[in-house]
Amino acid sequence: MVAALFLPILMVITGFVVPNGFAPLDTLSYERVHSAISGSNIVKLVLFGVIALPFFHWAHRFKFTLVDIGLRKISLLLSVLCYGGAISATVVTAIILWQI
Amino acid sequence: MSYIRKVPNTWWLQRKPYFLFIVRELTSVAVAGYCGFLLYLMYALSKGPVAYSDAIGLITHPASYTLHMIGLLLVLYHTITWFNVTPKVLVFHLGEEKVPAVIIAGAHYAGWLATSALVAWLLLGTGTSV
Amino acid sequence: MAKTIELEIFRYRPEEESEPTFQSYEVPFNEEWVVLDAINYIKDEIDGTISHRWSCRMGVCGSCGMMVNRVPRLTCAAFLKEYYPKKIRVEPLDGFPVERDLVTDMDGFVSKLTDVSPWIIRNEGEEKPVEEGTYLQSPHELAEYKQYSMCINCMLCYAACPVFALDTNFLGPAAIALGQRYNMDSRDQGRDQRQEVIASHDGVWHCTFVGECSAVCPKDVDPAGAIQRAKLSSTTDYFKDLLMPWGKRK
Repeated sequence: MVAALFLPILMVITGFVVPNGFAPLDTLSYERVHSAISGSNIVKLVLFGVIALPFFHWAHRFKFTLVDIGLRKISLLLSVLCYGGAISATVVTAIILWQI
Repeated sequence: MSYIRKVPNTWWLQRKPYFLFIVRELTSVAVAGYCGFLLYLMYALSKGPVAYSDAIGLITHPASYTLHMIGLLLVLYHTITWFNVTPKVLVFHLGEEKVPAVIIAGAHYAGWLATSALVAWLLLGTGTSV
Repeated sequence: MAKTIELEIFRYRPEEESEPTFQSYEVPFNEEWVVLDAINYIKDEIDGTISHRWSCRMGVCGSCGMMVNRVPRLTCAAFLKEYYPKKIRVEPLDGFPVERDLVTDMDGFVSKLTDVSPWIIRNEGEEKPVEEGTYLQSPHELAEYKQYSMCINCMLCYAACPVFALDTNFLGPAAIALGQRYNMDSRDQGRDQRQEVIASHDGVWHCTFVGECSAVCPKDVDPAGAIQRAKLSSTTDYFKDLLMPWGKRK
């Protein structure tokens, strides 16, 4: 759900709006972004949700898809890699955001 | 002796609904890919202005446009296929009649519009900080 | 020259062969015929050795389900004119062992139906004795589960489900929809009892919401919807139990 709601608009912004100059040049500048994030725990929390949660969405769907197209025998290994990857990404996200 | 038929690994290529299902599931890779990019931006941010400006500069690279375009198409497919099935999951009966599917899905699309507008306003709106 | 259409039919005779084959038959074509009519014509007029299941020929008994050009259909509802002049390939429903020709082994399916305890379950001491009359139910309460009660056990949904095709341990669409039919019946108090089977790894959580089960269902039962709703209610129950363990559910 998080990915469905937030990602399209973010991708439009970082993919088209800002690089093509439809927004002021300093929209994603260090000063602006850094002060927005470091100054607010709520912003950090929202960012954490937007970045980390979709990794679980990926882990679940990707693992089941690989099993469905024939990799059923290594299903357990795939679970470890996918969910483990999502958990690692979550931890890394938390650490990085904490440090901003 | 009953005969057990084998399922080929190409089962999903044999009918359009199955193919579209696999495409739908693989959109999760685009989702993870973009979140990985956001994570990388955050990492660069934590390393200071120079590291960050290098990282954000990537969005002006020609490959960025292509990747964003493909990723966006996939992520949109993900959003649309998801919202369109929500009426199957959220079933409410008013008396004997079901709340129409268009209202359930519509509510999600409305929420999507509102969220996108909010994010756009926060990121692109005038004013130097959130 | 009367019109004809070709049917290519899956044959398997365990006493004669170890591998299935396909046999082609030319049958008369007319506008009113369905695939079942063509198969019955073959059996009556051309090749009496062919084995197939059928009964009501009007889409209510669930006996005549087969793969028609790789799509699970009730053969009594698949008109020849939908395919004419191309040939029609008829095979037994996917996912099930083949006993003979177009006849599948349904035992696995039937046992799954029993696994979900498809009857009204009342708590100890809350049975209503016959003298007190029937349980009353409003039209709204009926609407909550009526759709799931329309299943004719035709197994088209199992044949359409890739998860079931790859792992026949999956409880499957019809069985879960049947479980939901009772879970959502206001007279029933057995949801907790069914949870162990329904909310298990081989139950709803094996489903990846491909949705083809609902697409092929001839009775609009929407088993896919039933399964996703069961996932949602299992999840909310899990969190309710976790955060509020003192509450007692139905």
